[in-house]
Amino acid sequence: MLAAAAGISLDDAEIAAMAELLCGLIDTIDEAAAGFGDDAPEPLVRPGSSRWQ
Amino acid sequence: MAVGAFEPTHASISELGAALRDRRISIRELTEAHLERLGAINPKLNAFSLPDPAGAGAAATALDSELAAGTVRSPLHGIPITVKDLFATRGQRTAAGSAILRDRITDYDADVVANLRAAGAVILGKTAMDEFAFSPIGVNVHYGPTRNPWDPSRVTGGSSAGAAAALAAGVGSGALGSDTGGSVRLPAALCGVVGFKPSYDRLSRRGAFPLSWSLDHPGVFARSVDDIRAMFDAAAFPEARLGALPAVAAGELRFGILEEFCREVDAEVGAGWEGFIRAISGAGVQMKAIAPKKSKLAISASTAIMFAEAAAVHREWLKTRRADYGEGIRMRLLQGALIPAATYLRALQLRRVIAAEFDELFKTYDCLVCPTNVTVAQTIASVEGPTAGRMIRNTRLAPLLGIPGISVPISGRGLPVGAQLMGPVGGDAKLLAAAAAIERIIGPGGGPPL
Repeated sequence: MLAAAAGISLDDAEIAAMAELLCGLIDTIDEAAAGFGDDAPEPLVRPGSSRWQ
Repeated sequence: MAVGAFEPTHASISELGAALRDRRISIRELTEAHLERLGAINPKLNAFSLPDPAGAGAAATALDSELAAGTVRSPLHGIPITVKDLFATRGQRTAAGSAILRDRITDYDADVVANLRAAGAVILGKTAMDEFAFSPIGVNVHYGPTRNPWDPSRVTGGSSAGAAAALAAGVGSGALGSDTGGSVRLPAALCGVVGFKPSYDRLSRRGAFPLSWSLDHPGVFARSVDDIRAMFDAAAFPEARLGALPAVAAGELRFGILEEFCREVDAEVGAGWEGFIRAISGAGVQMKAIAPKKSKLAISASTAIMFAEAAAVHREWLKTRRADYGEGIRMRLLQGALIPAATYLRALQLRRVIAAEFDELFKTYDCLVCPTNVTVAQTIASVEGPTAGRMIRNTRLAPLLGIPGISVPISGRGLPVGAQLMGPVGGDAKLLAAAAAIERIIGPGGGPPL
């Protein structure tokens, strides 16, 4: 369903091949960011800085 | 072809420059020596996607005329180099290692290519790479594997596979590549040459087919740190050039050894690394083992950012040309297409948290160091997905944080091993100065038997 919403059609083999890595990655990022409070850094550096526009 | 006391296909850029200015060899002769070498090694190594003898010959003739009239454009005047197929070159095919762009002729030069031409470099051709630079192996499913000059049954590492292989085999005195997760430093380490990824934005990305906008870094290869500086300055716009490097004595250097990145390496890498640490310690480099708390998150943050940004680049082709991708890249792009926006944004936040920790470390240490490669070059037959992820375990941090990183060869026996030095954002000149000091201690890397 997620894939359809993203405009990407997937067959069963593709879903099976990617599910484990993708779910693990999302969980890891969520877990690492779980403690973020209102002092967490904003995702993007402001325009004018060249490190990550 | 040896000329006088030097070998044109293996001499340093400064040695070649002096020989050209002294008329011991012409640019045309130098170019022909490299093209002859290219013709000899390419059938064995598959390092070039597009050799360009006609273009190189024409450039050499024009640059010889300028030299005869007393014009020397830069230290790269007349020096033969190679360009990764990722970078647009005017009037030539730029396929980025893909089948999808197999017939694309670009009508302009990437900024870094234009700068190198303006500096007087002679481009011998475009080098082979992994499909869309989205693999660290050097095995392209459409065009075949690039083979390691140290052992042609083994991989070069990627994605700048041909760049490293050609240089190690004596074709070109420098090479232009790109590094998003290790694609300059890893193949440099596995092929026994020097590879440098500068700070983010220090080399222009215009004209480089994107893999991941916020991780992509053009970078350069050479046989020594001094040659790296010359290559970098020729590729950079004037305001980003490094100029003469500061003199640094080994005893002044403070290195933080990234403990976690030294673990679980194979025996040959471990032996090379231990010898390296002994050598630089004996020369007076101050070192302390460190274990940054956030570095474990670097792989996940880098993966989320890289896959999501790559999926955005490839979104239309994922719908219309999916069968034209190799299986591995197709799966990575599909994974990227399914990464939730919240995960991507949190990965960007994590990157800034990790960067803050490393910015603090660089107040204490000049460089953070670790082996570049976790394993020596694997056989082409044995490399597969999980191996690939492990290959770039130690190289993903630097592009994630936008910090400069360089790999220098440290093993004089068997298959090559590299040491990676990383410095703070903007500290490119000091990093190269430290690498030059290290090179003076351990000596230059040797050449392959090919």
